[in-house]
Amino acid sequence: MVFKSGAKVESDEQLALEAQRGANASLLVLAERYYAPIFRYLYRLCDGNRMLAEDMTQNVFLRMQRGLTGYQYPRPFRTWLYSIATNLMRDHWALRDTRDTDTIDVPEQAGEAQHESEAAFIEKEDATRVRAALRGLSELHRQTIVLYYYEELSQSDIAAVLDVPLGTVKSRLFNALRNLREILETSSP
Amino acid sequence: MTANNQRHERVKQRLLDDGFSPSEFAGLPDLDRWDDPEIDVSHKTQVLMSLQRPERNVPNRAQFALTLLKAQLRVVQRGVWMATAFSIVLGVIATLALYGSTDTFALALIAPLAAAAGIAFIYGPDADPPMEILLTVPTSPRLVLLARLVLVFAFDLALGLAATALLTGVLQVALWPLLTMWLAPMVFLSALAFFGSVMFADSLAGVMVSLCAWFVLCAGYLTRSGGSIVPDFTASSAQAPLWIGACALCVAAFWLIGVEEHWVRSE
Repeated sequence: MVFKSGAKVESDEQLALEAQRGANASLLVLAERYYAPIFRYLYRLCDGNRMLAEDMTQNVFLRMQRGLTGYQYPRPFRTWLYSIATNLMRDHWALRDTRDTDTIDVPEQAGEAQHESEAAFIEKEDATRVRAALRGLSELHRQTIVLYYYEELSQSDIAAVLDVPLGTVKSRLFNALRNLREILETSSP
Repeated sequence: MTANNQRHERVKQRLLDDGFSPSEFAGLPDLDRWDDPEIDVSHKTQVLMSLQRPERNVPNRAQFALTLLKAQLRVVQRGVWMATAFSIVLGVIATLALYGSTDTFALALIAPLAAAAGIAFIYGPDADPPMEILLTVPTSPRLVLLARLVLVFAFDLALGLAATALLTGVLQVALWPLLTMWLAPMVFLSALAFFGSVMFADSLAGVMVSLCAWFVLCAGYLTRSGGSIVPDFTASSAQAPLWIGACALCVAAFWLIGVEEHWVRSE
């Protein structure tokens, strides 16, 4: 249990156990807590494709609901949920690779810049450059960077999410940072 | 300091803690340029709505077992209860009538057979819908049958114990020897009847198999003892084969049901 501001706040793991026993209210609390982080994570993995990220987010929570019996206490619920999202994304990429090119995901456009201020325009240009840099990374490196940087997961949590040894996460992070630096340096204006 | 800058400072600190040198994350500041996406509240609501379902209480194992037993109580034919009870009452009356003039303890002769006949009727076309329909319910046919077996055998056992206790009081004899006279044969014949009805998918076949086995046992004992027609199973050496045989027959019967289940599923 976690105590916050005098009120009793149940831990994710406690809620997951209750949801396993059929408490739908606990399941909804978990979904409420994790909607934003999971959407954010998938949004960045989807290269900013909002529609796809929303679809994937919905699928993550449906899969969470269906697969709750597979959750084993005391594994941290957070890493369990992120691993569902990661696997779903992996399945999507695998499926996309077997499809025709006309189904390739289209990211949100940074355009419509003609009506914006110069500062806003530069900001969007920078965001586009970062997105492009992340897109330039391999899927494994992108996952690692997004989990480490944007989701602020520890290396051991990332290892649990990606189901790889801690040493692999360390080397992936090192290589991802190096690649990212190279990409950003070459794309600097 | 903006939220992104704060995050960047935290990540930088973590990288240092994780053993990275500042030169290794030199390109990192630019990542903050990609802001967190805004959350579409209507989509979030839609996701939460899709997870809504009526509250359900998952019963614990004891509750589940109780519910299963209650359900099977209604499935077992009323005739099974009545016939067994009637046979046991008959056994008590016969014992009271015969005891004294002969050494025959009639209840020990009747109770195993009555129990076996009852058990034989828990499986078969009269008691169960076809396997195809059974397989559509969430509880496995084996578990359903086990519940029914436990229920009917518990009833037989309770009646046998009650009758024995009554006779012990009336006839002023020791309880344990009387109990051992019929308990092991009852268990064995019930298991045999159960196996027979599963093997031949016919309740009457189960009754006949157990009846024949009991007849053979009694006749064999009669020729050896030259007096009593009730086999003497009070010795533990005589009981052991019956208990072992009963276990083996039950295992075989449940295995057969599993084979049938597998066969129907693969059709």
